Amino acid sequence: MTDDNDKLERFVSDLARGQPQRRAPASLHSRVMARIAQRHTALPWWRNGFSQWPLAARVAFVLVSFGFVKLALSGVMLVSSLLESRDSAGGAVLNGAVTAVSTTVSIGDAIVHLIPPMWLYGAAFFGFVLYALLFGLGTFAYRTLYVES
Amino acid sequence: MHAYQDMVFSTAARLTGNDAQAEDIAQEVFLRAYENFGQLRGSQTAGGWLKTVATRLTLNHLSRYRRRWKFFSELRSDDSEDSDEEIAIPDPAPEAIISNIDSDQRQALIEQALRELPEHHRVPLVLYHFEDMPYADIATQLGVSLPKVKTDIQRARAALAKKLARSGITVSSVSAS
Repeated sequence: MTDDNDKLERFVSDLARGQPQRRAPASLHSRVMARIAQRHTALPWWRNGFSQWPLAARVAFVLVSFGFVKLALSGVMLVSSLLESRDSAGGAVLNGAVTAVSTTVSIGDAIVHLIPPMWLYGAAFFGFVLYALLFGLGTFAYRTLYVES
Repeated sequence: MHAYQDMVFSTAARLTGNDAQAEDIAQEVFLRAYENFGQLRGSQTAGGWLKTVATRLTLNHLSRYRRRWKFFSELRSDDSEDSDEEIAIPDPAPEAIISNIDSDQRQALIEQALRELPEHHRVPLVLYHFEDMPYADIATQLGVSLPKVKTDIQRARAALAKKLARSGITVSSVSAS
């Protein structure tokens, strides 16, 4: 058996040694050149990577980002101060918003409880079957139309 | 690029068994070479660099593809390949057959036979015999054990020889050229 394996190894080694390189398709060179040219065409600076942005734009971006963070923190502080002073007009507005949200959640919860659990399980199962079916169809289409070609 | 495009394309095409995917990979290899042009220009190792990148990108491509479609297309376990059953040697043994196929036809038949091998046979075989990669490196690259790589390559040789024997390509015809 080892003898046969050695013969096979020599056979395939000889094949590989005698096999010339495959010829690259004529389109390869032009495709590479086109992609390189595409990179050279003047893309707007904001479509390049951050490291390739102009220095002023990078500085401005960082400053604006800090500004947004500060704004978000200020917003959080404002909401918490409004919650502390519920008597104020702002507090009333906030309380109204909280009530609206909690009412909506309660209505949704009541509707879900009205639906029999088997219906919910059935709907979830149906959704899963549809997902698997579409995934399978996508796989089949990819393998048939793209990979096989 | 002209000097290396056949080499890069061959590596990708033999590993993937698919010319369209190989062209995409070769394109990506040369774009990376372009990004590293300063380092590669005039370098004696440019060919080696391109070959390494072509091999790595192709293996990445294949592993992505494998992960994505294994569930649907390769449900059988790879463990079945690890069994200790004897590897079938083509009968009659390749050396016993005489062939009169011309060189171009033989080369085309060999490429065709490689393409027809299943991926788990083709990839280690091409890495070992065409890319001169040692067994241990192949095992590392493919994330499998060394014995499995050796078994897969042995099986791949047998499968390749069997396909070629059907086309009339034999040891004698290869040795004679």
